[in-house]
Amino acid sequence: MSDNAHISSTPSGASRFATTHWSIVLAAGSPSSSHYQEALSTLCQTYWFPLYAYLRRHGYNTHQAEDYTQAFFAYLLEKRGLRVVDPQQGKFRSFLLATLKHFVGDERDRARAQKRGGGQTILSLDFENAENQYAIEPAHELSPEKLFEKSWALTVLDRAMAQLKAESVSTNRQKLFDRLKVYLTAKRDSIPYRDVAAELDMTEGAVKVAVHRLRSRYRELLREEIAQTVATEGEIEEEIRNLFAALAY
Amino acid sequence: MAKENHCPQCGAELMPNAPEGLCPRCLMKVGLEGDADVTLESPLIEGPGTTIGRYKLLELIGEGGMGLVYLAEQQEPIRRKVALKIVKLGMDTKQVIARFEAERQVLALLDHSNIARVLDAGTTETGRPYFVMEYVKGMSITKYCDRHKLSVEKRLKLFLRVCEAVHHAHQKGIIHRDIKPANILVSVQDDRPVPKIIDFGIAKAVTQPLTERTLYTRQGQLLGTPEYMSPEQADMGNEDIDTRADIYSLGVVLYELLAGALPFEHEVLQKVGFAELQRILQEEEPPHPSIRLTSLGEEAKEIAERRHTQVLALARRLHRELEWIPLKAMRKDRSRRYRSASELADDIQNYLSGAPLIAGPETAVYRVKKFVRKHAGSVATVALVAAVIVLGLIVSTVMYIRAERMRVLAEQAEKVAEERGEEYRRLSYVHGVALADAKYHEGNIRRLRELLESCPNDLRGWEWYRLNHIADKALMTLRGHTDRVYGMAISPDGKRIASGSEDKTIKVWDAGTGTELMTLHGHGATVTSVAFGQDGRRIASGSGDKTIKVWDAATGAEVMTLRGHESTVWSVAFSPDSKRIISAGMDIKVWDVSTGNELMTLRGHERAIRSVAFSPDGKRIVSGGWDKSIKVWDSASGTEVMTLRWHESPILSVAFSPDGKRIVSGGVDSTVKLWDAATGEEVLTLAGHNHWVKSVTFSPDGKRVISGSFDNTIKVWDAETGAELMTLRGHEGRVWTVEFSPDGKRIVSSSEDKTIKVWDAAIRGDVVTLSGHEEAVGSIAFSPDGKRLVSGSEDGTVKLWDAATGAELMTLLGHGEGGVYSVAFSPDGKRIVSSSEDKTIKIWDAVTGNELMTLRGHKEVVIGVSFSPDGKRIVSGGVDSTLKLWDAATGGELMTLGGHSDWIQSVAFSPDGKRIVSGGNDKTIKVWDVATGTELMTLRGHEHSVGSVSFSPDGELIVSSGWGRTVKLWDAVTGTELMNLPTNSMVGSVTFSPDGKRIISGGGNIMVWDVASGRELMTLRGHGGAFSPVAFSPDGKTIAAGIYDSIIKLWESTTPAGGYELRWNAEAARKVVDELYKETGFYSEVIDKLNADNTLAEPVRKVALQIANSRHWEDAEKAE
Repeated sequence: MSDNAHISSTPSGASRFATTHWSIVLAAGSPSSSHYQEALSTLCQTYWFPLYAYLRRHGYNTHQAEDYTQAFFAYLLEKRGLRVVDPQQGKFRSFLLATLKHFVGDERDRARAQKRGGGQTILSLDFENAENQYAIEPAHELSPEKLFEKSWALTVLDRAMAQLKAESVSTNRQKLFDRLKVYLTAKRDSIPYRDVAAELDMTEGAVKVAVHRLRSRYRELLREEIAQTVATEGEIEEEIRNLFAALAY
Repeated sequence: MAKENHCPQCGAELMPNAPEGLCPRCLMKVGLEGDADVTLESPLIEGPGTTIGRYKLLELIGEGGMGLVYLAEQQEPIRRKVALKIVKLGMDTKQVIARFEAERQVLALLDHSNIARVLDAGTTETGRPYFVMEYVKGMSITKYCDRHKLSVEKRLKLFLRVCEAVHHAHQKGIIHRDIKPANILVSVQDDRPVPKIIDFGIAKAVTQPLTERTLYTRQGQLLGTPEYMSPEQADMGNEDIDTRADIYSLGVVLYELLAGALPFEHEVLQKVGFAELQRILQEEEPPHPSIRLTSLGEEAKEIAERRHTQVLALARRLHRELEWIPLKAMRKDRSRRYRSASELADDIQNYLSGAPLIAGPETAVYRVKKFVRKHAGSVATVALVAAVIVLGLIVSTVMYIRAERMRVLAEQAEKVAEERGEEYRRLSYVHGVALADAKYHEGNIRRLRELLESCPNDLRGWEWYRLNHIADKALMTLRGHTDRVYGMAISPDGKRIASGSEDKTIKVWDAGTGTELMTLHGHGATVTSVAFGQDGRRIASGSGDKTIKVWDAATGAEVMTLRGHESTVWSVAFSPDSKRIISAGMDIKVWDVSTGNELMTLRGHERAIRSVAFSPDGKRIVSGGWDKSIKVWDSASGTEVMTLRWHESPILSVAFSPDGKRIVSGGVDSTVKLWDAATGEEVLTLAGHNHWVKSVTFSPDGKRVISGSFDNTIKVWDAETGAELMTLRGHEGRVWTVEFSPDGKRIVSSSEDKTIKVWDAAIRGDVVTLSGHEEAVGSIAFSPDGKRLVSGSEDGTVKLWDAATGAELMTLLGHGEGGVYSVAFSPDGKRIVSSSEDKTIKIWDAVTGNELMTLRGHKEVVIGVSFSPDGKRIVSGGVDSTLKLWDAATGGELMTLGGHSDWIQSVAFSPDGKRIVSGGNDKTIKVWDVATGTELMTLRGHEHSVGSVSFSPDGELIVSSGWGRTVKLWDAVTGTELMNLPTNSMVGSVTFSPDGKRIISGGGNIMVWDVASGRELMTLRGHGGAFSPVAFSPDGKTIAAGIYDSIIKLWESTTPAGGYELRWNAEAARKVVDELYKETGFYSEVIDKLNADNTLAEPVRKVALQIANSRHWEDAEKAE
């Protein structure tokens, strides 16, 4: 990626949303279309941890939560998926939680999905790591819903940060990234540009530009990540506010 | 102090899972900001504790359409409490602030003790505009008046000050634009109420042009309250709003203060679409407050009480002249309103001082002029006509309207109706039905009836009959008493009913035919209670004249009069051997039937006794009364055996169970209680009624309890579990007595509505549920004779059902695991066709269920399939995008029609069999010639996949549904799109009624539409999936729909063929099967058990066996 990464344009409004995963799912006429399957699988693969955390907090043990997560995806990705996805339901996050709740509440659905799935692995999910992650959350206070939202927010951030880091690595600027990332959230006037410049053997101006670019790129990546899960441009802002609120717990 | 594991920016603790060790909250926030520097002082979401400018938010005190209101503390230059309103997101901040700034200087001129001052405005750090106002601690004017039960005078005086304040603002050139009770707060200062108008100047700043978008949320919920909005404000894009808009809103507030209700039913405004809402506000004349009040029924009583008066007095007073004041303020034509708020105030003053009013009824001359003018081709004719119709509709039921006015109105309505009528008639019909539906859900049967009766005969369709059916499912209504009916009893042989009434008579009726057999005169006051002797020879009656009379049940002759009570006799009963009578008033007396002698008096209750009964063996007596106790007595000695205490509620009714082991009671606390008759312990409490439970009794088999209540309903309960089995609605007045017929098959009830009703005791709920499928039902169809229903499900099976009883008849297996997407009967009803995921089509014998043949040829899943009207051909279509025509007799493939570029979802023949219509994922509908296989036309217009298509019964229209939440009607000959009916959810299925006058669509909601006007008539509640197959029964009386996710529901508009008993049996049978299956796990064992069980009633066993046989195959699958 060239130096002017931060001005690399994002596709504008409509066309951008024509290709996000959730809009593909919403637009797909049939559940057996490969686009639909692919897009939904990608989303599920990305956002399964919040589901797992929800189930765990709901009282299921690790095995049950693993099984149900897989069975739930089997349920979603099967032909029944189409009937389940209603464009009215808005955001992917809301859809997923609502559908999961229904799924958990409906013994027969669950049993059937498990029967069909036959314990087979629909997506490859790292449950061991999941349990470690889950254990980090304090075992009190948060309701399953709140935990779901919070985990979701963290997943979004993880994805954006991972992407940001990957881009830096691929352009041989990992060192820069490691040094500057802490300023992503800092107030501009609190950044010791001079010290950093000296440390990195750069001019102060170059550091300022680098921090600015890093921050802009990060913002872009975060919004792109969220764009994958909503149906319209307008919902991105709203979703960020929601996720921000979810992180307060 | 930022520690190692805390965010240096916000101080939050950092968890090990923080992305790259950074604070998640701060990271998320970065996503929101533009290129401006990241600021961390302001939290993103304001709330208590947040500081905005000079203000610190303390607590949230209000939430409205416009935004949130906080109580806040101003820090400088002076410390004081203020109200801070933060405008919700989505408004253009700059514009709002600019508009406010433009008015700011003028607002500073507002100095009135009844107007809350606007102190400041600004933008929060998250970019939302906010306003700071004087903090008024108070409640809305309507709430205040109601809570303090202010009389009409006091209300008017308070309102006067509001008018004066508005006038003050108007003089400074400031219009409020959003006057409503929530913006008129009343606080108490020095013990006196002080009204204060808030938000002056704010509404203008935040006003957005009224559009569908600004008025509704994305889910189509109406935002805010349009009820107070003037017609000119409801006019989109009308910039010309002046002070008279505020006069209108003041008129609505006054209307509400006086009549206790808004001019237009809130639920109607909530339900109708945007265009209809506009139309109502601009064209429909508000009903007169007096009429509005009296149309409210029970609620009117409370409204009057809150004004320290009675309904009649209030209505008369409003009608005499007061109501002209709000009506004048609310004229649609603003030049006919009061010219100013002070003129409005003057007129209120006129009223209070007895001077003649400025307002008055419109003169006949004016009315005629207006009529002629409007009628002369003006579009606005709609207004008058609609108003006349609506008014007429309300008026026709009310007595306060002068005959002359009525006549003029009626003539006008008639004349206009003749000339331009059809549309308006339909309109008022649609309204009537919507309102009646709302009334049903409120339980206001009387109003529902009035509304139904005012619907023109020729417009009545399924929805009307449906409401009419569920409003009253009584088998018979006995009319004859001229006043309220209290006491009621059924003869031991079940052939006669005796009833006692406020009209002082007792009537005897034939229980089978409902014929009035005789009327017994003699009591000098209300007959409160009647009873038959067990031998059927005598009738006893208790009365307000303090006597009990005994009558010859055969001749009606008065046999004797028992005197001794010193007050009203509330309850009488015969002993099981018919030799004694007990009666209850202030005490309980036992009488000898042959001599008329008083045998004893049971004393112990402290207050009036309302109900008394013998135990089945005659050894005990139970009584309950106003002293909140139930007492059990020894009938031989008259000694008190036991007292059951009922906390805090007078007892209105008591009875023994048939085995004498339990006692049931009903009382003022609206509950029914079951007691152990031996120990006196409370066993169950049945809650569900909304008013006093006046009468309770057991069914003859002791399995059920019924209760009659002052909430106008009768409820049937399971005596074992306490579950509410049924609510019987139909009485238009309080229910006084309920009884079971001796054979347990009928329930009889008496009511203050002057009638006695006879009900089928096996009556079931309003919606029939067919369950048995294991997965989503993809398709349903009625047999041509309407007796059976076939369904195909994603569970791979086809099931046949008895449409009258709801019982499962058989399961057709053969498609294996492949889901069945479409099913249909052949026109002669002898065969069934089904299409499946297994890429085949199967034809079945509809009687035996045998598979007759399998049609193979489609390369992919077959979705739609249908028989030709002559039954000779079959058409199918599916995922391979082709249509295939088949010979239904041989199964041979006749033709393949290519043309669609994506999945075909639905296919249908035209009624003459010459054309085929198809629709699918390529968003088009195609019409084909059957003989040649040529494509005749392609209908384009759907923006999403077409889920369902079909022809109208006359072949002239095509209806289609799209997954984009719309139903479209097309001209089947020209292909022109005639109508687009937007729905609020995906529509998976759509079909015509057999008469072609209605359409039903199934999706997130099941909706019934009027074809002629394109209006929604009714939404059937109680389901929740995105896709729902629908079908009309061939007689047009029943709608069936597949409901998320595996059941089928039926909505009927008449009593089911065969009555309720068959259905009751079918339901009982299904329960038995389900329970046995749970127990045994295999249907073969269920069948064995059913065969061996001789305790089951034969009809139930028969149906149960049939259901178990239909599911037998599941055993094999399970064994695998």
